[in-house]
Amino acid sequence: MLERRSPIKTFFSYFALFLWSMVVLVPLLWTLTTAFKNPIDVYRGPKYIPGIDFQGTFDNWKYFLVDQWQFFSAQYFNSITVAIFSSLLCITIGSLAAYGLARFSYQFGKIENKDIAFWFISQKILPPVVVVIPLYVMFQWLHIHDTKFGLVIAYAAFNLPFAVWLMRDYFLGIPAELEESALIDGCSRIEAFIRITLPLSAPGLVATFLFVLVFAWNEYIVALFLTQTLASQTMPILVAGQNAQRGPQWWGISVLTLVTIAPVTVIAVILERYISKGLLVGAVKG
Amino acid sequence: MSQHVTPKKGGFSSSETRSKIFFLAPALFLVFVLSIFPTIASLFLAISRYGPAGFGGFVWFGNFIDVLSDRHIWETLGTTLIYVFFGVSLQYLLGFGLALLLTQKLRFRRFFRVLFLIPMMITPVAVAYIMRMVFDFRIGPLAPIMGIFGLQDVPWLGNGTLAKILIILGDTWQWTPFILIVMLAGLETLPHEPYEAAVVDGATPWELFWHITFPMMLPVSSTVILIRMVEAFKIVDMPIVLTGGGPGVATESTTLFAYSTWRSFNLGQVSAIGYILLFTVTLVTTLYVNTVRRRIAGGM
Repeated sequence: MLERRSPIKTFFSYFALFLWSMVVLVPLLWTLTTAFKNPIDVYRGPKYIPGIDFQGTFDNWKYFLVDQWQFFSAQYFNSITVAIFSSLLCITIGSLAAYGLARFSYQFGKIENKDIAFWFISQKILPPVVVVIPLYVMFQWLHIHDTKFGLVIAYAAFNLPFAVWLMRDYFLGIPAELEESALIDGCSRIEAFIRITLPLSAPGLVATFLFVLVFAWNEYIVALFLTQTLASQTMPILVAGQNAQRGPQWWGISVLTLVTIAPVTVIAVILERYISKGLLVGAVKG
Repeated sequence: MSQHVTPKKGGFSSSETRSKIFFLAPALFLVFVLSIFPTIASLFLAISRYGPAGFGGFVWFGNFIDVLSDRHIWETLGTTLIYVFFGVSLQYLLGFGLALLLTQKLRFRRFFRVLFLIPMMITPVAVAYIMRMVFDFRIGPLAPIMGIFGLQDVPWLGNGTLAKILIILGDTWQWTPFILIVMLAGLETLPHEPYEAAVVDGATPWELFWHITFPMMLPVSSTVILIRMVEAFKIVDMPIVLTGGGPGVATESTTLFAYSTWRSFNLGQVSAIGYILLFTVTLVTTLYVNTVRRRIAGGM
């Protein structure tokens, strides 16, 4: 890091970064071109550039966005709804708990703040299959199986440990004196939290929200158990279901993959900024 | 004056108690209802006969004995452990290496950071399809290169070992970025002084890494490996789409086994499989924490 870099070393570094860039980019670009191929061009061996070694087509896009619009839009809309509402619920409840753990001292017998925080994060060890069968039975009994609402609360709960862990760390980094002066001025705890702490934690909240949003957007196995019809099925279910009897329809799969990953790619650009400002540093050390 | 202060102080602390509960209660409630209660209910299912007709009486260890006496569960546990061990090792090596590269003052650093983050943001289901396309050496993008080596017909999905490798490569493509960002965050907080002193003493770059960077990064390393390990045990999306668990049961992870058992509607056995997986994860992570992490903490 501090040593002077020789040109050879710099060249090697760029070369290594270039190689990994290819590892990341080639699969993505391949998916992009495949989305514009006719089936024949997919099976006729590798074709790389539309207009040069194959004739591009919008048929695959038209198939999902026009012909199958009714199904496609339902699942896309489900994904958006479930991801946004579960993430909002998750960071609301999660940051309340995180604030509590950062500012108060709890004592239930021998259990203290540290233990509660650890207990939250240790929930991540639970494999989804352990929880999901009873949830399936419970949701059927409550008539919320195969509903977006069911998926929203399930995702909010599963992502809660992560939100609590990240937000607690963020709140610990904000000096408590600011709130204390507000409390002396007659604010209630909740007012102090909403008016002072929350605005100061906006970057942490946004980043945590985006992380949780991505997790919810991408989740597959829990949705497989808890959804059944277009009423609640999400995009990963639609994408996975393309393994048709006629063999995988690569051109269609590529279209669905692209529309599924487009929003999260934008989120990646935003999140990188927060991460490079040190969002994860304390959380990892703690 | 003191008359005035005492009641106010009392009122203050009781409202503190109320807000203490207010802040923590919703999260506890949600986790209890949707995580703790189902976990306990799952144990109840695991010791019951529970089929399409509903509850059919307790069988106690019956489901566990049925599941454990079949080779199937052991094969899936073995496969899952292979994914965890090789996948996480590979991701750690690549992620750490890339993080070291990205701490250098190079041009386009931000571009690389954003680009490298993207695979982690993609739904694993899509990653599985993308991998199948890329590793098709007959019609995929690598076909011309692989053709030179005569590898057009690598039977990725027809050979158990190759299919496992494909899944590990897909998982690595997806999760190397996670290790990368966490290690990068760790590297950027390292103090400069030890490096300055060592450079004065004439240390080579390799010595700097091996005697300073690597030991100082051990705590972060052990945490990030722990997180990835726990997540890797849950692997299911990748095998379900890439191979469907095949050929035979060669790539079937334990969660996938549980899912296929669920489809035959034997809820008691599914829960037993879930608990066996939970037991395995807990055992392995406890071993890891008690050996590796403790040694690191002790050595510091």
